[in-house]
Amino acid sequence: MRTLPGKRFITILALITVLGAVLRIAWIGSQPPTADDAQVAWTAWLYTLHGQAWPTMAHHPVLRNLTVFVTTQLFGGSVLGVKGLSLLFGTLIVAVTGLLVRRASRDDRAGLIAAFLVALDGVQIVYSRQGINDVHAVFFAVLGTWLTVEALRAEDTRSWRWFVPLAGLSFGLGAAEKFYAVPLAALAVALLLYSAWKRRNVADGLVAVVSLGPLPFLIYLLTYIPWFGRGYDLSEWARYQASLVDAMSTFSRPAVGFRANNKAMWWFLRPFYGHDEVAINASHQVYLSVAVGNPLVWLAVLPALGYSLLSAEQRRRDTLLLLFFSAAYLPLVFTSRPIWALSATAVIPFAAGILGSVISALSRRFGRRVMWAYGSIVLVTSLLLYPLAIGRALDFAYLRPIVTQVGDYLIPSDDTVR
Amino acid sequence: MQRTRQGNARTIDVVGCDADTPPHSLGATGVGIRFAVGFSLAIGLALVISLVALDRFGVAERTAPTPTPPPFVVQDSRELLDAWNTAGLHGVHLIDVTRDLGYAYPPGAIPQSTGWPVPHKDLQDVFRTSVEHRSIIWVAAKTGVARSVTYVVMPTDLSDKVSVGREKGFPGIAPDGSSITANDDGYVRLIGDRFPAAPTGPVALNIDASYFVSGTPEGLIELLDASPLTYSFVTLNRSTDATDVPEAARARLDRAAELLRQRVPK
Repeated sequence: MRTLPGKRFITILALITVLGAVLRIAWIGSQPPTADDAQVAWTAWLYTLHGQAWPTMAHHPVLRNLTVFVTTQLFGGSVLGVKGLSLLFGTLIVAVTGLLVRRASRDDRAGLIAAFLVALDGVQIVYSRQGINDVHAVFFAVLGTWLTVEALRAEDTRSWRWFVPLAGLSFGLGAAEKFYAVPLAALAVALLLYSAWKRRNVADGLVAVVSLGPLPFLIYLLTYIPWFGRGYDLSEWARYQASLVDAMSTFSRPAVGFRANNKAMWWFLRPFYGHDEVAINASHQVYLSVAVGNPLVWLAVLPALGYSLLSAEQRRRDTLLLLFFSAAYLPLVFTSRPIWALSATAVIPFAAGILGSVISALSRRFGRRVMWAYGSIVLVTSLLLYPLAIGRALDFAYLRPIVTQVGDYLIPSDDTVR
Repeated sequence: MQRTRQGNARTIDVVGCDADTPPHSLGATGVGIRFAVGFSLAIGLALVISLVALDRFGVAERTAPTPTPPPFVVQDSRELLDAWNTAGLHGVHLIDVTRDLGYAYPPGAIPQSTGWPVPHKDLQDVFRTSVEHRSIIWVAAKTGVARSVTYVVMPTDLSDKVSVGREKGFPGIAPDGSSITANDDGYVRLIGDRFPAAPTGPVALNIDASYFVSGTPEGLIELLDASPLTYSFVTLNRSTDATDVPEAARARLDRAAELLRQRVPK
């Protein structure tokens, strides 16, 4: 395949990315802030000025506080100030997924299908419209993965000088947002080292180790400058990190309103296995978002995975996608702590990659009509589900069966208007 | 797992390079050893400098009054916070001799916002203005006064807390019940019935009247004498804002203040 994407690929990917941007930005101003949205702003100010990562997500890494501090300095506590980066990164995930899958599967069509599925995904849309930083972490993680794949596809060239350090930089920024990036970075360094080893190229191996070890660690460390301002030394930082990991791994407080739907293993087995996000305006009107995937996509992930594993040709083509999907998904499946659907943002680009690759292969075998038919049905159903993603889940009667899956929002209470 | 590219003896893994990688770039070029060494040295140097600089920066941010002023008696938690702030305490290790842990959120610590824009707030101001007995240590932690906290409680109070903690399934309780490590999103507090080994940096001591609900001034002085610690700032809080602290406990606190003033400082 061509190293650089062609004009046609770039044009279609740009159009899909624009579609993703529209779905993420539409009616964003009419959605009042959730408790987390407001707390993201206050935590950004408290952390950057005083080193206190509180009140929201105090047990996670701290980069979001620094970046949101900058955007709130530029745009105040507005939608753009608080959620601007989520909207940006959530949109860019669409484009980077397309580029990653194209290179990993060596198939332009697979990349475009994957980008299309991510653009329409309800969970991606919900968390691109939230101030919390899941999509920030996912963007950097997917970017780092794409750069790693580019490096693997350019073995023995000087491109490694750029791709590998930039991959390390991305993984470092991702890890400094949330730890979704860590297993992907571990896999990336293993693949890069394997590549260097089979070529007996010590220099490439050294760059891989430094780029995906000390470099991300340095980035992660530097995000704690405000924290050190509270008087801590290095040994205390090390102990703090251990305590944070402990707090993170035992975090089990229930999400607002609903405890269930907290096992990642069910994401691709049950329809509408999602998570609720609530905002209430000054008139006590509830804006409910429900982060659920389109079952026509999410329930197709495991069959596609099976096909990819069982078909030798497909397996060879999808090896990298399968490996990265496993690195993104399996740690969430096997962790003992509750995992809610917001973490699916870190898995969907890779799941979409496998789906994209399989659909592309099938369309070559059975004709493009298969692809167009599936794409059309996914588009229509995703648009029907779209109100769930933008805080309008309670406004449409046909969505009520899905709402009841995530909480008791249809039972009237005195202090809210529905 | 391997396939061979047609017309070229080079084998390409599924994780390997593309067929259209320019031929001239194939074979033993890569990043080059000079680049690899230079890059590694640059990142290694940046990392070492950052580690040393952050360590020194952190230590330099610890502030406490010198020389140590005499023990300071305050009436309530608000006065206590004022005393710490006036003395310029920042980033100290706080030893709190107490029964009450004072680690609840103060009222209004997390404001609400129902519309855009989210109002700009420095939450530290909110914490300071709403401090009370049940939140004083939390506020000290969240406003930067105390970078770490050790509680010294009476053995009977410790066993009560251990029992409650075990009943509720809290983590961090030592198997022998001799201490509790409370992890608040990475901010760790140690609860025990004796003074800790010398922590690094300045140490502030606060003695709360609630300790004397079951403790005695003489017993506390014995504990203090047995400890090798020296303090940069000593406060005694009469906790008049704590309704469940009896006057008798405050009287014992006053007596402890007298004994402390007479005590030869280490």
